[in-house]
Amino acid sequence: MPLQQQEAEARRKPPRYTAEETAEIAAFVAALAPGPAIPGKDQYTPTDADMALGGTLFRTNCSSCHNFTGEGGALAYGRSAPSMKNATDLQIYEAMLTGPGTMPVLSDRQLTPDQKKDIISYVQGMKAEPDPGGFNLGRSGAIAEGLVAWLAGIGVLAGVAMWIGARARRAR
Amino acid sequence: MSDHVEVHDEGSVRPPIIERVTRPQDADPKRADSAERKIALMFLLSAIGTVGFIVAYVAIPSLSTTKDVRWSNFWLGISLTVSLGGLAAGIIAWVRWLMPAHEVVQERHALAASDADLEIASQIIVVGVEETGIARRSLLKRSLGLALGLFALPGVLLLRDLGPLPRKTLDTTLWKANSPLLNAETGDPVKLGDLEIGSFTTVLPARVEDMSEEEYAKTPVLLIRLEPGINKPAPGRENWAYQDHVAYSKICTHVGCPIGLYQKQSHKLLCPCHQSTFDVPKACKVVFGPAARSLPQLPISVNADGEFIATAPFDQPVGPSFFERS
Repeated sequence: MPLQQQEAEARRKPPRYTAEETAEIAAFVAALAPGPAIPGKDQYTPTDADMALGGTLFRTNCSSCHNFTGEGGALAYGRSAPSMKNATDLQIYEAMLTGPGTMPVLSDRQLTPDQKKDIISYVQGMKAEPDPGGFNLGRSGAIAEGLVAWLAGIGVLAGVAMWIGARARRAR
Repeated sequence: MSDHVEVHDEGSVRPPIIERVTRPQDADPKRADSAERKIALMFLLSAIGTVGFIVAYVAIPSLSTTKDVRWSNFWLGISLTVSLGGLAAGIIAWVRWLMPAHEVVQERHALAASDADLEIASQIIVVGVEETGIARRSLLKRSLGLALGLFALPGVLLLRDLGPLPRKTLDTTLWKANSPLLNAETGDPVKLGDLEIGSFTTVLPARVEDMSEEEYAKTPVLLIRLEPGINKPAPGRENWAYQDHVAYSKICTHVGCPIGLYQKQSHKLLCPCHQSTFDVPKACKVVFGPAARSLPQLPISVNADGEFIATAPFDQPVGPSFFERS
């Protein structure tokens, strides 16, 4: 809060308004028309959540835009699904409840509050997961890995092959 | 070295041969010694890498946690790269820097057999055919022809095992009139009011456990709730939507990826595989990307219990085009 500029995508940036000011704006907007209430801490904190079920729900409802590991990805018309790297439990819960930007709403009748907690538990669990393969290349999957293998790996091999085959330097 | 191009009697052109090159290190023994030291350094580096590999293998013995595996992979890989890379670089540098730089030509022997050999071979064939008497014994000639000709048939017959003949399974799905729209994860019926405006969900006509993988691959349907009044039904499909809820096949008509990227503000469905984009309020016609056909629409209604049901099967095959698609 507020928007950096009017464009296709509202990018994440450090908030200019304090938490108190944001709450005041929310209270004003809530007075204009009814909408979902700000969830309490016990509603969104994933204690005793089923992370495996959360994973299933995430893959069905979220992964097509946000990637299997919550890293986000490109959409059409200048839009993109943001990475969840910095998302807090509350932000994930509220995003499902309200559908910010072009994201569809996932109401409580569609995903129960418990299922929402399961999804939060999965997202936060994925973020805490180590990368056994080493450098994760942004966890964006096969495209990034293929790009590095083709450009860096094959590039180095081509350079070595040229060195092996190059003609000898001559004395003047 | 000669720079002229030698032309041989067959008319082929061959690049000039470098007979002997004098490199800086050939002219100056000090430079040669310096090159030798550099190569020795590469071999030494390789030795250090090998020792590092042994150390890494012994020092990270327990692979019980992912972190251990990660560091084990990292150090084993790095040390093995240094070990093999140093060895390879040293050998190549040795060849390039110290061994004499000249090209040698080895002539190939002639590929054709000698005339005498050819004569003997043709004699063997002529005599062999004569001894069989096949020219005189027409009964043998014909019966052998029959036996060999028939023998080709089993080979053709075996092609049948490549797979079942094409059937009509791609033309139909499990959806039929009065099929319930069940939530794909929970298996519960989706009711009117479950979806908010701008929401969508994936639905199936039966529980996932009750269908084969082949059926599941083509069955998923997206139930989308649009803003009131923006749906522009195609001619003849005026009653296929129900109160701003529309249902379309989730399987992309390009190569069959599940389409799950719904942008609620522009009402576009985007396929993650090749970016085919479908305009939901306009009968899901293609507005971008490689897909050739609109997504098939499933006509829906709501029953007396307020649960969504299909009113008819799909009117066309779902998913990508196929050879016999009508």
